[in-house]
Amino acid sequence: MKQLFDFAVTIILWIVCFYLWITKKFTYLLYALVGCHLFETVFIGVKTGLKYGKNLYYSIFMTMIFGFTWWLPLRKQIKAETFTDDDFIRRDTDYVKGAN
Amino acid sequence: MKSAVVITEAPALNYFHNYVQLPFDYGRPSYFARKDIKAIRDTVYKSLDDLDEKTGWKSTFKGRKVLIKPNLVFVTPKTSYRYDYDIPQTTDPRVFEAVISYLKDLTDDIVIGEGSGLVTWTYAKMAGYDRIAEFYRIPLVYFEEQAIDRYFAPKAEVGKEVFVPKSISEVIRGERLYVSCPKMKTNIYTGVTLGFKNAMGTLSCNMRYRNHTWQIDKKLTDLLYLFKPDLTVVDGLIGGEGNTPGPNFPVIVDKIITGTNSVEVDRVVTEMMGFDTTKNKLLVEATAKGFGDTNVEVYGNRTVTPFMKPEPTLLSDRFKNNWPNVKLYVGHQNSRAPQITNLNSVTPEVVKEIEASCAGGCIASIGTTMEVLFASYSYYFNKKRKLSIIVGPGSIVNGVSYWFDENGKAYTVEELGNIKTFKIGVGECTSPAKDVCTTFVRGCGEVNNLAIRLALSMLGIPGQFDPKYVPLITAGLVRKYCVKSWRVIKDGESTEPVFDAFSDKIFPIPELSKEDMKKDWIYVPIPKLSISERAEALKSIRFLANFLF
Repeated sequence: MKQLFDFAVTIILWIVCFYLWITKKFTYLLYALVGCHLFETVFIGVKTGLKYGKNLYYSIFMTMIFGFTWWLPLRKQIKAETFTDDDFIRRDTDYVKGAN
Repeated sequence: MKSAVVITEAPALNYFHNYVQLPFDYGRPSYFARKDIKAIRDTVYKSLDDLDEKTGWKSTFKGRKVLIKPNLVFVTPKTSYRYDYDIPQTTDPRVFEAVISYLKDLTDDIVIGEGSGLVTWTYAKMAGYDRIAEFYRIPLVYFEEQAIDRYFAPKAEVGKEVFVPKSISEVIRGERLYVSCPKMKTNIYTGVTLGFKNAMGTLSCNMRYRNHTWQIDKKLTDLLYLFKPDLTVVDGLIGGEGNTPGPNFPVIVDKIITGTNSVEVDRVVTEMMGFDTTKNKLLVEATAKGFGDTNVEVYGNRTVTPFMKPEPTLLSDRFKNNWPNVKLYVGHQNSRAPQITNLNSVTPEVVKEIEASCAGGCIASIGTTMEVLFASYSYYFNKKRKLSIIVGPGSIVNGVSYWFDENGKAYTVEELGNIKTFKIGVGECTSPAKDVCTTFVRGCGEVNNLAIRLALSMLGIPGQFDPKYVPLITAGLVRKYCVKSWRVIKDGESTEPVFDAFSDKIFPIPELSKEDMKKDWIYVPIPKLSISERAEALKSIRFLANFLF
């Protein structure tokens, strides 16, 4: 749900950028957004998408459009679900008793 | 096939990573290289190999069609509730995957089938079962989206008429073998839910609510006349205790239990959970009907890991502690309830007996829903909420109907009306008190409607409220409704019988010949629906619940 909200905000930002460009000839916000997303695509978005299991074109598309709102949650999940053998050692704290 | 049960111990590892949802890298070498995955696969394989050594089950399965059914209820990672662990309600997808991997060596024709009674498509995606199906290139069917077939079960005590999805018809006719892959867990309705109770998931929603009452044990064992698991694999790595299908609590067991007779598997597992098998009604009924096997051989270590007993009651200390201002007023006239002759003789213990006279019905459903609300984030806001729950038609004393509170104090219907709290009347039999209730829930054992109304009455947000999954759940609901409706409109095939669970009566079937009475099941074709019948059939499909508003 939060990601949908973030996507919606990003789309609104794109609309604002294009609006300013077309009506006010103000291009800097658009350049900044494209620049940031391009940077993210090259250095992190595609890498994260591929590591997660998405294909190349999808990763490029999603990062260019949505930026960190797309790749950051994937990155967090990858980090949370990348384990070493040490993570599977049973410890006393693993025992869970219900909430009463 | 010889009956055997094999108990296999898994290595003592931390299995708490991904026991509810498959990880992002499922299907890749990194997944299969994980220590827990290797241990789970080795344990499952060993158990099935040992079972084959004792029974030769693999020769039965070689080259045959197979339907494998997990136990998919809610899929609730820890973010959905205020607990700090994932809820162990659903068959561990890692275990399920290992079983399919094993079966794939025996046959290519495997179908995964499930009907969670809710939004199976959504929960299958959340758990990762869809990715398992994709990895093995096998179909995943959602029972509630399939057209139904109709059967009579002449020998059945309660469930004489049964509607099942077409995939199950293949199993009934012996064309497809059935593998039950349940979770080792308790259940508020039946004590435990294991190998053969897993078949509840094959029933369409409206079919489930017939006799979803004190007769639920008989109803479920009656299904064994139609089909039984040919192989049962119990996921006992991390079990679940508590008031399931409400949110439950993990119990480390470290076992995989396999067997060729589901009733005997369930008996062994119930014992391993620390329960008296002679007191579990499901097992008692199944044994009485001859579905057990006294010649079963059990291999492996039957260590007992005590599970917390479920509490199908609103009168327990735990419930009163959790919900101090939620009060039950109960009165029953059925033959199982104590007969009251003197109002002053009604003690709290007698009230508990009255309440328990319809175990498996509305009280258990209320208990489940309240468990969901207890685990929800909204609990902090509504734990002091005042609510009166009225159940039953009242106990008759000197010609007057009375309902009793937790202390044994008697109330007439007028006195109930004077209680100044929000009042919810539950169940068709509570109709005599309907007019004094703020809201009234129809149906006899209808769970969805009860859950929604109760949550609204409590001003609670039901659990599983991780906002991340709301779009997926919504999409699943819409998809389910559209697919079911389309099947009716286009093909003239219904996916649901008409909802008719307004009492705990035994739904009758026509008189049968002496020869037919000896059969386990009789197929009764359902003709294609006419145009007017299709319009009627669309009403049987519920988006949420039958009587929501």
